[in-house]
Amino acid sequence: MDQIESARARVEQAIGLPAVLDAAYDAFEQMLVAITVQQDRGGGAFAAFVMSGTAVANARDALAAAPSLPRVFAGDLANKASDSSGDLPTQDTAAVLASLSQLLSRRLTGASDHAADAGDRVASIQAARHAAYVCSLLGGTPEP
Amino acid sequence: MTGRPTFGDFANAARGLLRHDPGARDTAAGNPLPTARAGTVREFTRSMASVLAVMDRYCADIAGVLASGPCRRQARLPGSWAHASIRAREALHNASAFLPSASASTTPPGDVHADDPAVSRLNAATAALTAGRDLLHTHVTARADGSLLDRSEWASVVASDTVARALLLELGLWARRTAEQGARIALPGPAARHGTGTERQELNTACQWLWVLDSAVRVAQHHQPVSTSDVRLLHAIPVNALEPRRIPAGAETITSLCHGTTSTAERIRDAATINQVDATWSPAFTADSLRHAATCSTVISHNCEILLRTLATRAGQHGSGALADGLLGCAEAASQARLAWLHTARAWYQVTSDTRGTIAPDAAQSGDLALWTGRLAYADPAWTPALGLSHPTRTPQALAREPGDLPAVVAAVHQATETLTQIAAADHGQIRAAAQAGRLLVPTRSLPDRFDIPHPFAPAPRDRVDALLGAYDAAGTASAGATAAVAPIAAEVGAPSHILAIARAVIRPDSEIMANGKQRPGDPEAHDAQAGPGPVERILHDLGITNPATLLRASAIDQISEQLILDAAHVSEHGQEGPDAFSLSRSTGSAELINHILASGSPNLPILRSLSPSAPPSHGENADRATTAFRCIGHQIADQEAQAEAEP
Repeated sequence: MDQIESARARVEQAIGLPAVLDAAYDAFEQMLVAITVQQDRGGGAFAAFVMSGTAVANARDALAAAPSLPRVFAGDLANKASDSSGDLPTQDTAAVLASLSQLLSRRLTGASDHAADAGDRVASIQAARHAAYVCSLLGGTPEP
Repeated sequence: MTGRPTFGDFANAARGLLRHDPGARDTAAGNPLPTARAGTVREFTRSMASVLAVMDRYCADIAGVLASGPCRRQARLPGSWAHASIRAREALHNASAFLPSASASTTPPGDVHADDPAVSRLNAATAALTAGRDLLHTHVTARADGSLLDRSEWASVVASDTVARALLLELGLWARRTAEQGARIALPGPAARHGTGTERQELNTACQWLWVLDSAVRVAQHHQPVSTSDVRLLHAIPVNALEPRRIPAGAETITSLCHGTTSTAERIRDAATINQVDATWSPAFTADSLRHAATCSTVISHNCEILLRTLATRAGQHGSGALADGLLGCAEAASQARLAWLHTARAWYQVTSDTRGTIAPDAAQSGDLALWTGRLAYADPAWTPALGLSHPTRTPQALAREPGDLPAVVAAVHQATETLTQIAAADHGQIRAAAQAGRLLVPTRSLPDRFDIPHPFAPAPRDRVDALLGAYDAAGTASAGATAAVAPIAAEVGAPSHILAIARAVIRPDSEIMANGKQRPGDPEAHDAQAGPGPVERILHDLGITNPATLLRASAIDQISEQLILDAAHVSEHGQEGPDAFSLSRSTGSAELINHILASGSPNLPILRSLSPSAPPSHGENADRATTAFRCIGHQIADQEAQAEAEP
């Protein structure tokens, strides 16, 4: 879960469109890893985590199309994509991920308001929408 | 299986209408209903011509499947269904030649308001048969070049040999019943109608050709029996008119939820069969659509697993331990499907497509099925995957209050698992096509840094595409396994979905279900060879004699008489001197006897070969035919009653 907290900190601290997009992209990657772990657990939250995984992947791919997203390769991401969320109870993981989704939705919506490039705006809006959906799937309250 | 009209609705209606109606006999015998009257032979033959015209269209359809193209050589093999289809067409054409043309009929097909009840029933049967054929044709449409285009998931079933054989068996039954009715009208007796000797003779001859048709069918049935399940499958074919798309409102009963699950599953399968976009170029092919379908399929299989476990508990509470064990086995198979679909959904995390951002309407329907099955599985009537993390499932009592409630839920699960199998197959084909067209991509950021690609997306590496396709293969196999596990349970509890397994076996004849189904006896009503009493026995019945010993004697006299005719015909067949058909039908009595022989339908009757007339002249040549000693059974009726108006 440290990776999720780290991703959250990067999203919170990002300044400027490229930095927000970059931090959000990485955050979605980290969320996918954490969600995958929860999917393997099954249980009552199985459907919510399955739906969340796809929404996160859609959000990440939407951001990948943003012209202002910095080019970073998997070699850099590999170090970030290690996870330790498996030790947390499902409800706690869901709460952390819902909170991060809420933050992502807010930051990406804000980024789209200030993006000059239409491609950036579309990518940010789409990703923000997916993040809001993940928030609701995992029991959070998406911001209007 | 569905709430839609099926072919069986119309076929059974026709069976009932063509069955001998005692009411008609009363009418002719002088006890008419207030509005009924005994019509004429001519009125009956006109209506019968309409029935035969519809049967001929059926026959053309059947021969098109059984005796055309690569099957053409089969048609030369006596005993084969291909041969029977050809013989049946010939018999129908010959029968029709003795009747006025259908187009000459003044009674429109389906006019059930004719005064004569027998005519009215015949017209209603014509309407039912026409509607039944129209129903079958809703599943295919003809292209400009004459080839057929599938319009539903049932198209392959409709065009299968299995259904064509079952349809021919059905046709034999209709022909036999029509012949029985017609002969009663033609020959002297309580049900006979007013008509000239020629009209009665022609009607009887037409009926005898229908018995020839029936015999041809029975020969094929004797050599290659059509099973009961094949007939059931034919009768279960629904009209190709899907219910409109809908989602649960929240107040549905279990029955309503099961119905919604079924209709949604059918819509998805129909789209997977018919409405596939061309993934090599269509912008409607998006990773979002396929991701959505894979994700929802994971949820659906999870819901099915929950439902099966809940049903297993309920079956145990009802004291059905074996059923409970079977349902638990099904739940395990559904669990395997869930895992396979989960891996498929995850494989999509690593791949995307060149068009993104939209979910096609057909793909969105998999979300509907997840919702319908979820509302069945969970206690909250407003359940959605976005409702929160923890949802209590329905209690076993709430899911199946009575043992009789179980089949509907089993059917819903069966429909869902079958749909997952087809989604896997359809999407696998689309992904393979898209991959070959270079439409599968990955974010460049997900590639190792040795790839220097100045674009946000790059072609998907081969290993990721292979992993995706492999995941779909596994999901399809696991879903088929779940379907195969549920199918025998569905059959055992009498779930309406059990016909799915038979339909799939027709399309995939190597399946175990097909092999098992073929071992069952066929529909007894459709091919029983029971003829009614012979002429002597019938007269005794008409006289009200019920003494078993007397009736037994009458039956023995009928059998001896028939054997005499058969022996005579047998001699004639081997080229030795003997009576021909012409001389065998000296009177209405002998015609009735020959009718009875034909109606008995023995597959090996030499009489059918030696007594069957050659192709009759066209109907407009009746006058010439009257002076020509054509080889026609019952011909001498006209000689005896020539130019006379025969009263019943």
